Amino acid sequence: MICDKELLVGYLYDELTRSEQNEFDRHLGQCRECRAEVEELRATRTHLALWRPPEPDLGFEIVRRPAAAASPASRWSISPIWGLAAAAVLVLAAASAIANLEVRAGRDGFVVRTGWNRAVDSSAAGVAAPPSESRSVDAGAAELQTILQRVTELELRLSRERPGRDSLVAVADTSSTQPAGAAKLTDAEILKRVREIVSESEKRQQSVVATRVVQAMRELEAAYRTELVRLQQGINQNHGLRDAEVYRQREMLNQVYRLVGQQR
Amino acid sequence: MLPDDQRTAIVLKEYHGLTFQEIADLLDCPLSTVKTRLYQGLTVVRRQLQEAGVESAFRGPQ
Repeated sequence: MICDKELLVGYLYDELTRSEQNEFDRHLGQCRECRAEVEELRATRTHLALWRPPEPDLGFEIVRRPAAAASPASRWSISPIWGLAAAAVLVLAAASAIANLEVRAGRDGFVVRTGWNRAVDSSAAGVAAPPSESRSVDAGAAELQTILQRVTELELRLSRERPGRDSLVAVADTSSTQPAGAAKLTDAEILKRVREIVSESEKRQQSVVATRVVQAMRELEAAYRTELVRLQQGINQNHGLRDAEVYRQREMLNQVYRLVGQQR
Repeated sequence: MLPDDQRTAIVLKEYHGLTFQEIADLLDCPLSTVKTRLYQGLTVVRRQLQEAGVESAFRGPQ
């Protein structure tokens, strides 16, 4: 058998029928020259497979933005944004512990529920984060009202039981406008004062906690938004790269068709 | 430099994965012509690579 280059090419690209394949295998067993040629052309194909067509001139340059410059691993593990979010969660947890808060992440955002709220109306649905400030304070105020009623009742009972009790010197209060020890007050007046102080401090505590929670929520939301934007940027960049690849393929096909056109 | 017809055959085969028959249909030429162009084209590329001293790197142990 003489050396058939068409068979050799078919063998090289694995496009021979079984009988052709057998025929050429037999030939390769006898022809050292064809064996060497097949081996060398295979090496050439390997090299062609490693080669990539040069980048087309797009008229612009694709540059990685600093935001996406970090490797994916580092972006997720040590992003300061997520550190901030974690800190916000910690603050939230601490605030929750103080205020007997119940915080749940649901489909419609974060739900915040306070202990006072539950005590007053356990059937009430959770309050969404931003309006929780006013709602929880309102609920707390209502709860406070009941407590105050009970205190008043207790006070009345006490005054009935011990009508002749001596007056007491008022406890000095920094927030009071009354001078310390300046006046002698009755039981009722002292109780009233104490009630006022307690009420004030409770209100203050509630508003502080509510403010902290809202603040934490805002920080968390901001971090979430930033991360979203960053992800979006990454996606856009990938789109850009893919478009470049498509363009390159198209450019190559166009060249092929141009060549075909010239040939005709 | 690779002649255009050989270059076209190689690009369609190596980078677009077309079969001999598909290339023949696309270029409107006989199947044997496609094979010949591929053979000649590969041979030219091989020679050029050898001249550039690249080929040896891809040859297996002899």
